[in-house]
Amino acid sequence: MRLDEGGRATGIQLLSISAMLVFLLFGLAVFDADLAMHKKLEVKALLELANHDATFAVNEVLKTEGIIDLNLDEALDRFARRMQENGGYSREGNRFHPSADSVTSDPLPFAYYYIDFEHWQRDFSLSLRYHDDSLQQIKAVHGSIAQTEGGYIEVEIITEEGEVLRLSPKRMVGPSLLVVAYVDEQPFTPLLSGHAFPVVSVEEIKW
Amino acid sequence: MGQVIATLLCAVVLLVVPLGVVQVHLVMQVKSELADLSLAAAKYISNRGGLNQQDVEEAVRRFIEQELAEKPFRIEPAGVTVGVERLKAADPLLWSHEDQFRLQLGVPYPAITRLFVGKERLAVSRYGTINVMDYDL
Repeated sequence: MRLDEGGRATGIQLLSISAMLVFLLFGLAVFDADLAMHKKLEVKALLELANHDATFAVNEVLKTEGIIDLNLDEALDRFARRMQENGGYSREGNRFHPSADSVTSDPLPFAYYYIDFEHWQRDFSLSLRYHDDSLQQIKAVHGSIAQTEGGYIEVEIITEEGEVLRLSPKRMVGPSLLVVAYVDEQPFTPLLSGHAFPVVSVEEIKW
Repeated sequence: MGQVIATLLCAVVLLVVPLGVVQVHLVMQVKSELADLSLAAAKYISNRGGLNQQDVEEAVRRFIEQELAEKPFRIEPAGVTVGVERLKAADPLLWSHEDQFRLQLGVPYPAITRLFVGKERLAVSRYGTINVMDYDL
């Protein structure tokens, strides 16, 4: 009689422990999906705000001659400053290093390309390869036909596995600075897969 | 007796774990919404500029209420605190070209129970640049 009751109680405990494990696993999957979503939104916000500020770096000398052009070095400094202010990232070469309260925990490699006043009306396609934690430019091609309303930017990224990611085309409305970053995060438990996705921002020069 | 206590404990843990999962999910969701909302609001200020501090503050508040009404967000407009300050100004009143600003948004911590709450509010701050000429204001 006693043995039987004890057996039943242990059965219930086993059942509840396995139910708890299932809940935890389910919770982990939900949390991971939330985290990926949050990273995507936040990195996009950071890039857009930083690129917006960067495109204020107009070359004043050329502007007096009626030519609107970007000071690329100043633009990148402004970009880096905004990344620091909004996201706590610091620039080192072609990577942004996160601080403790940044949204990502691994360095964020990025690539940029400036499409100047002579080229913004033509289509532009950029091909990048993600390899060894950095984004390398493979090819950058300007189209030959000028459209008065501006050309389309097309970006493709080849991942380490050889997969080709094509980002949706964006239309330029003036000389533009294009910035691409690639988020590649290790999973926080080996149970889950990591987060890897590109983020792109195109901003026209502000003058 | 020991078995009964152990079983009860199991039941309590069994209830707390899903509660924790839902709580974490809720916080992450509100954080994402806040990221989205603050980007939209910062862009709005950039493209709108303003006649003075009060004008900008009122416009941002209206914009946020409108955004929250249109999007299926969890955030309640009444709980949102908005702060805008200008860090670099070309003109003492007008918010115009290349002025720098900081937007701070806060929402109440989305707690379903008081069990796990550490913070009172979730906050985000965004730095931006105004992109409107003074003669357009």
